[in-house]
Parts: sequence; structure tokens; C-alpha cells
Amino acid sequence: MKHFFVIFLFFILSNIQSQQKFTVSGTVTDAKTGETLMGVNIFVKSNPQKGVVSNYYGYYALNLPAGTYALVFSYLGYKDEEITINLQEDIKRDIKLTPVPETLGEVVVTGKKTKIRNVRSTVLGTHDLQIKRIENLPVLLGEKDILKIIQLLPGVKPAGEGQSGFYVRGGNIDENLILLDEAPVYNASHLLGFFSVFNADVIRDVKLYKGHIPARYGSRLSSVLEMRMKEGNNQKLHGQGGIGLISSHFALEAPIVKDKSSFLISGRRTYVDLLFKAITNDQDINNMGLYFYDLNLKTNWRFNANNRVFLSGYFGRDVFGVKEEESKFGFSWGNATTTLRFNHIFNSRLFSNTSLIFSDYNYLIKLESRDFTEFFFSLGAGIQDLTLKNDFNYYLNDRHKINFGLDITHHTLRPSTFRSSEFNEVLDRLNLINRYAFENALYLSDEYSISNKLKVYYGLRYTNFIHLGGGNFTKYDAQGNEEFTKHYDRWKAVKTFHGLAPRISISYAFDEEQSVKTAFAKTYQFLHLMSNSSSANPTDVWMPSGLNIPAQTSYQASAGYFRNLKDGKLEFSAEIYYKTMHNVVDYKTGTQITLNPEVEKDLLYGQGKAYGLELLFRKKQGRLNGWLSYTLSRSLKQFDGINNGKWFSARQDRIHDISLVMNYRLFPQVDLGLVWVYYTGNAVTFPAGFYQINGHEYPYFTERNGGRMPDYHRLDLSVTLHNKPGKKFRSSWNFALYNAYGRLNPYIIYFREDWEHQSRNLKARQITLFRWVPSITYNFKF
Amino acid sequence: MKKISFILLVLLLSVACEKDADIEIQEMDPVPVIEGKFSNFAPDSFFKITMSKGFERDTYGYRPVIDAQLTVTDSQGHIINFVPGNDSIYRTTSNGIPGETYTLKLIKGNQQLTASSTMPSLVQITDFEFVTETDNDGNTEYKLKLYFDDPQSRTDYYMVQIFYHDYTGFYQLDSDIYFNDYTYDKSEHSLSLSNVYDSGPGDYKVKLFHLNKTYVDYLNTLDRLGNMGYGDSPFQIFVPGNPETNVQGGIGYFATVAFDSLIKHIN
Repeated sequence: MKHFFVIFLFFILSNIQSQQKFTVSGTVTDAKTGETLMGVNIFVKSNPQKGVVSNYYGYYALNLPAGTYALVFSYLGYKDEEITINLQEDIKRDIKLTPVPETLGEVVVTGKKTKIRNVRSTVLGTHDLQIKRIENLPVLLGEKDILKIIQLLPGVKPAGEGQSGFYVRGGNIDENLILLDEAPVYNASHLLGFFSVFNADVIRDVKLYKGHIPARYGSRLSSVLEMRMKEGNNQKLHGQGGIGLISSHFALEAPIVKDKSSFLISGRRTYVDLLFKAITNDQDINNMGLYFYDLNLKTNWRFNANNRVFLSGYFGRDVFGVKEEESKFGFSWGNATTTLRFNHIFNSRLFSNTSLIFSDYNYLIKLESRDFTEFFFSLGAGIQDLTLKNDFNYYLNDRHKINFGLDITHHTLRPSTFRSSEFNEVLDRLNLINRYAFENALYLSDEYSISNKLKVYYGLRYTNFIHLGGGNFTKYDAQGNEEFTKHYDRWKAVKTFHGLAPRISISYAFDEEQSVKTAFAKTYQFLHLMSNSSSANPTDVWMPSGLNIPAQTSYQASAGYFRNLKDGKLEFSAEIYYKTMHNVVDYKTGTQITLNPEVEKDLLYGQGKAYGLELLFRKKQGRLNGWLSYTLSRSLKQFDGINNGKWFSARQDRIHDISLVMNYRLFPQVDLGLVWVYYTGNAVTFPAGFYQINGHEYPYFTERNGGRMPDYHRLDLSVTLHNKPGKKFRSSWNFALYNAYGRLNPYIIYFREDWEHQSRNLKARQITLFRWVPSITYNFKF
Repeated sequence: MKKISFILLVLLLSVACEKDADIEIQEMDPVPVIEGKFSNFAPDSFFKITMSKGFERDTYGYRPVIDAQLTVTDSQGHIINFVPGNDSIYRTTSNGIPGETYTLKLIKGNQQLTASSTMPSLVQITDFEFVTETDNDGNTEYKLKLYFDDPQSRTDYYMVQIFYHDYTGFYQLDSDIYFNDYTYDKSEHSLSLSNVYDSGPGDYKVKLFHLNKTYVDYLNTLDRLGNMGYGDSPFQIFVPGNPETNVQGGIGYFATVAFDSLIKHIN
């Protein structure tokens, strides 16, 4: 840590110059909606190397010597804006950028600086997803799904057919920090993983960090998926929505006070159950409820030029219930998040954001008897976070942008709560004490432009995790035997972990068209999802590091070559990475992971390694746009108690992964979409033989994950018909076909005797879930 | 019309289909499988030996192996031989000693299976009784309450068998009951089981087996393996694999148990 500060001070002090400098600062917004724009390039026209990028809230600050300058503001999808300033003191300039109309025929003018940003920035292993680009892509059942789209990026692999869960660079599903307006979302799936909880109508920015992870992020080993909701149109009323086969969604945004304040509200609900009820009089169906809903709310208020507050929330739930004459059964699960943020500009160089964040995920199973016994039972679990964080951006000068901050999170983990009208000794053991913890961090980083060609990002995150008491805690040995049980009071530390997580990224640009980059990151993870399945089981629980579960750590080194072609219209990148993971969690054979009050006895700790090559070729503009990605990778694990301690394939060890995504504007009102994916099948455990004990036959497995599922591939097609342009009410019909050539990809594999040939020999059978799934969606905007 | 719409909708949404899967299976060669236990009372000790099969199972059943050599050796090097009887079960005339460590060796052809296990201490039954309770319907239930001296230094694992004597002799009521000492009453030196019996008055025999935790874990994992199926599914909640065992060169478990029994007339 001492070395970091020495280096930091050396770089900072060596760049303090005697020439007087001033700062031009301000906020960049969308001229039509008033939304702040993140990631806008602001640079001096005569010297494009001198520039900055606007932050999450559209704020920028550029430090220059006194003089007259032409400044350019450039952002993809918007017309470049140029202003002239006479910089003799610190000045403020708020800029509004005009979006490029969506109709074909107008030239899309995007500044070169924006086009070459992938070459010039220090980041690698990072993807910015533009919501507009995904609107016409074919997706399962017509549901625009951000998580499904990021699975098409290199290094990101879907957990399975139709699943929202994903693996990033060989990591597990729980190693991805998913944030919505800075609030963590612990279970981002509806309907057992088939749909994500994120309504694309309200999402403005999506950013995935998988290689270079800035120091302001922690808590997960493999990636950070940051999503920001729109702020709400503060110029005029705007609405959009869609009606699909299984769900509908609607969003409305409008100013409360023009230019000052706005709100956004959106909702989504499935209605398969309502549809069935409308069609049939069957009593069983009428007594059943099966649906999910999402509700997003946001409002903001700009008090003055230097102060602004935002309040946003997300509430979503899956509900399954059956109501009969004498009993009622319900199973529901869902997330709720709330973020209160306060932006304050201290001066032209110092911007801060303070956030108070609440996040909750829980599930509940209830059974009530309505007869004379009045029996009931309920079983639930969940996790709840309360976070206070403060982030500062300090624009020291044109070479250094310093970020620093802290966050303090209190976790409440409810592994299992059981209630019943009748005492049951066995089930009562499912009542587990709540677990509490503090997870805190301080960070400091600097984005340093050493020269026009060489840029460095270096940062340090100090992280601290305190598992708090509030009951009896048992320590187990490696064999699962109890070593001791001890009582800890509520606020007493049971176990503390802490460590330093350095982050560094270096970029060297040969010229405006090509660069090489390298990065290194160390990450920690103190919360672990107890799950063996690749789907998002609602009953999966999170467990904290403590007496039994150590903290996980990861080290990742990556490097890449970036090349732009045809004046920035085409991008090519090749990245390699090598990642090691320590104290990775796995389970002893036969472990029951869910509803197991002593699951910590059955855990194994080992190591993992993942390495790979990611190639991406992308065309961002023009009638035909999209990308082609190929990932060649391995993901391996080693545990002393598995496979005799030998390295073996992780479930997500898919060696080849290809995604082809294409949008084509056939006519001004007709868009075609195509997605083709291919990946090596999961590594799975199949039996190699059988044996008999006590008259029962059991399978024998020679190796964990020694088998392979068949390779997966699928083609999706879509056609989108837009109404005539120029109208205030815009609408479109999207017709899509998921799995257009009907590939029978296995979703489940099971074994049964070969009845057809009257043989006891076992046959492997597969169930395919989705084959030729059409969808029709009507979308509208006004 | 409504019914047709409903059927069409169901068909539209129910697009799952099934067929033979094209996967590669690693066939295993047959290896010896051992089950049974060695106890402190010779007539209760037995081992059954079979051979495992590969994935292709072309015959019914698992024929017992009777041409293997089976020995158990204690820490002093004393060898106890097991020989197969007419029922193909390997038995011995020697009693095991609680607390002693034994090594099992099985040789079949050029295959050798070995295992090691320490026999748990003997836990004696001091008494037992049937405690009466009345259920919600007003019926009288009888639950077994066992009196024994549980070692207090750690968690202990047990199995109990309950026998009732009728004109044919003692026959076992219920299946084997496995439990640990979490609910052991230290003041009364007793533990009540939740199983219900209604055999009425008569002669009862209770056998209490003291087991190693690793053996109990093995049985629990085996039980889960038997219920979980062995394919692959996104929703599997059990981790597939072989139970942890003390056997090398084969499959199964070398269990050593110490038991005590008590016969009592219950009115």
C-alpha cells in the first residue's frame, strides 16, 4: 500500500506545472429528453489528445492553459457539437447534444474521436451495450432481454438454454456483480431463469467489465454488469411499450418541472395465467396463478447547477399459487431495490455522488389449510443490503483524473426461516439464525495520460469484510466434524477478512487506428451462492465468508490488440486472459445444497483457473451492423476431495463459443435481425457403470465433469416492420423465430432402460425445450 | 372454438420434444463391490461381494462372488478369515473388538480391494421403554425411549433395530433407524425416537449399533444417489458423484460397528 501511494504522489507531483491553467466544466445532456449523457468525448479540436470523457452523470471537466479553444463534444448516435471558448478563468458550459434521427438517408455524423475510443481508452475487457442496437434483435418469445444480449459478447457464456444466468471468463454465475442504479440485484431472473428482471424500456446504459475492473468496484470475482436507468424525459411526455405473446410492458416519462425535474414509471407483467383463465372454465386452471411482474420508478430534481438528487426503485416478483377449497399454496420470489443519490459539484474540478442504497431478495413458500385444522407452514430465505457510498471525481489537470471514494454495506442474510402451526423436529431444524456482515471499501485511482500515446489507469481498493454475530456459530473441520460451537453477540466480529485489490491498465496507441493494452486486477468475494444448478433457482441462498467459508480471491491478467478500420466504422479486437481463482467453493458428492441447515459441513475449497482468447469483429454503423465474436477458452478446477485432486473441467468449460449478430435495414421501414450462436456443450457428470448395494442399483461415476453435453447451436431470425417515419406515434411489429432451423439442443439428459428393444441396457434420452418458437410483438413509442 | 384455441395455444407453447441423446459414455471395467459389516458379535458380521457392471447391462441382477479371498486383519497382525456360506454371504466366527483398527483385504483374480476402519466404542443399552402419546385423532401411539450412555465428547451416530417376538420368533419391526445424539437427554441418559409402534405388549429386543460418522455419510449419500437420477438438468440440486468411501480398488464401504442388545418384556 505504501508503494502505491509513493507511485501515486510521484505521478501527481511530477505533473504539477507552473503555467496557469483553468477548467471548463459542465454537464452534457440529450437535447430532446434532457437525459445526461455518460461517456461523451470532449476534446480540443486542434489537439484531440487533450480531452476527457463525461462521467456517469454527464459531468465533465477539462483543464487547459489560458487561451481560446474550439471544443468538440462527440457521442455515438448524436451530432457532434462544437463550441468556442476563451479560457481566462474557470468557466461552465452545459451542452445539449442532438440525437441523430433514426430514419435512413441522413448521414450519421459521429466524430472520429468517438469512433476510435475503443483504441484510445485504457479499458479492455469492457463492453458498452447500446439499447437501441438490440431493439430489433430476435429474442426468445419476443422479450427484449439485456442479459441474453450480453451473452452474445466474447468471453460471456449463457448458463444454458434460455437462461439469464451467465458465466464470464470461466467464473461461476455468482461471480458477476449485477447493479441497477448502483443497487445489487441478487437474483436477476424471472421464471426460473428464462427471463431477466430488467425491463429494457427503462435502461439507458449497460456496461460490462470483465477484464479491466475499475477500483470503485468490488465484491465479485469475475465481472461487473452495471445498468443505469433512464432519468426521465424532463422536456416532454414520452411513452413506450410493447404487447407480446406472454407479457406486455409500458413506460411513461415526463417532466415534473421542465428542465428541472422529471419522473419515469414502467411496468411489465406476464399474463399466460390470465389467458388460460379467459379461454377455459377448467377449475384447476382458474384456481392457479402463474405470473411475474416488474415495476420501475425514478424521479430526479435539479436544485441548482451544482446539486441534483435522484430516487429510483425496482420491484419485481414471480408468483405461483394454487387456491383450492380447503387449502392455499403459494410460492413467490423477487427483488426490491431503492437508490437515493445526491450529486454535488464542489467546484469546477471536484464532483461527488453520494448514494444510499437498499436491496432485497427473498423467496417464500406458504401452505395454508382452510379446514378445521387451520394448519399452515411457511419457509423462506433472502438477503438484504443497506449501503452508503460516496464517490468523487477529481479532474486534477488534463493528464490526471482521480477517482476516490468509500462504501459501507450492511448485509443481512436469512438462510432459512421456517414457521409452522405444528412443531416438527425435523423441519424445525430448517430454522437458521440470520447472518450479518459489514462489507466496506476505500478506493483511489488515477487515469493518467502520460503522453499522447501512453495512458495508464492505476488504482487500489482496500476491502474489509466483518462477519458479525447474533447467535451460535459452529466451526467444522475438513471432514465435516464439529470442532466447536460458540456464541457471538449481535455486533461482535465472528471473523474478519481484509485485503488490498490493485487494478492497473495500460494502453499504448501506435496511431489513431491501433493500440495494445494490458490489464491486471485482483478481486475479492465474500458472499457465495449455494447452488449447483446453472438455472437461477429461486431457493438458492447466499452464504457469507466466516468461520467455515474463506474469502475467495482472483487474479486476472489480460492483454489485447485493438484495431479500427475504414475510418472507425469497423472494429477488431483480440484479447487474451489468464485468471486464477482461490478458495473456490464446491460440494462433496451427494450434497443437498438447498434446504440443508448444515451445508457448510459439505463444502470443499479449491482453486480454479481460466484462460482464453477472445476475438471480436464489429461494424457499428451503416445499414448492416452487428458483430462476430469467437472465444477459445478453458475453465478448470482443482479440489482435494474431487477426482483424486486432479484438475478437471468446470461445468462452464466450453472450449469454443461463437456469436454472430446482424442487423440489416432492408428498407427504411424494414429491419432484419439475425443471431447465430454456437458453443461446446457443458462438462457434465454421467455414470460410467452401475453397482448394487442392499438390493438397490446405483450409478458409478468415474470422473466429475468427465462427460460432455452435445454442442449447442441455434439460429434466430426476426423481421421488424416500422410505421412511416415522421409521425409522432411510432410503432413497429416484430416477428421473430427462435431456433429457426429447429436444432434439438438438449436441455435435460436422463437415462432409461431401452424399453423399445426390451433390454435393460440404458439409453440416454434428451429433452429439448425450445424448437421453432415464434413470437409476435407490437411495440410503440410516443 | 374455445377448446380449439386452448389446444392450439398449449401446442404453441409446449414445444419441448424428446429423442435419443448422442453422448459419449466412458465405460468402466467391472470392479469388486463390497457391502456388509464387521461387528463385535460374529453372527452379526457379514459381507456380500458382487461385481460392478459397465454402462451396458446385459443381464439381470448382480450375481454374488464366492471365489474371492476375504480377510480382516487387526493392528497386531491377527488375521480373521471370512468364508462364503451356502447363501453366498461371507461370514466369520471371530468377534471384533471395539476401538480396534481393522484392515480388510479382498482378492478376486488379479483385482484387490482394501479398506481400513476403526470399530467404534461399545455403547450399552441400559434400558428401553415405550412412551405413550395421543395423536390428533385421539389414538394412542407408542414411541421408543432408549436409555444408554452416549459419549459426550463428540457427536455420535447410531442405528437401532427393534424386534418383536411372535410365534415365529423375533422379527424386525420397521426398517433400520439411523439417528445421532443431537436430542440426547443428558439428565435422563436417554433419547426418544419419533417412530410409532402399535404391536402391543410382548417381548421386544432392541439392538443399538454405534457407527462411524463416515459410514453414516456414506449411507446418506447413497440414499440421495438412489433418488436423484443420473442425467443432467439445470435444476439438479444434488451433486452427482460417488459417495466418499474408505475402500480402495473397488466400490462399497468397509463398515465396522459395535452393538449391544437388550430383550425386555413390555406390558
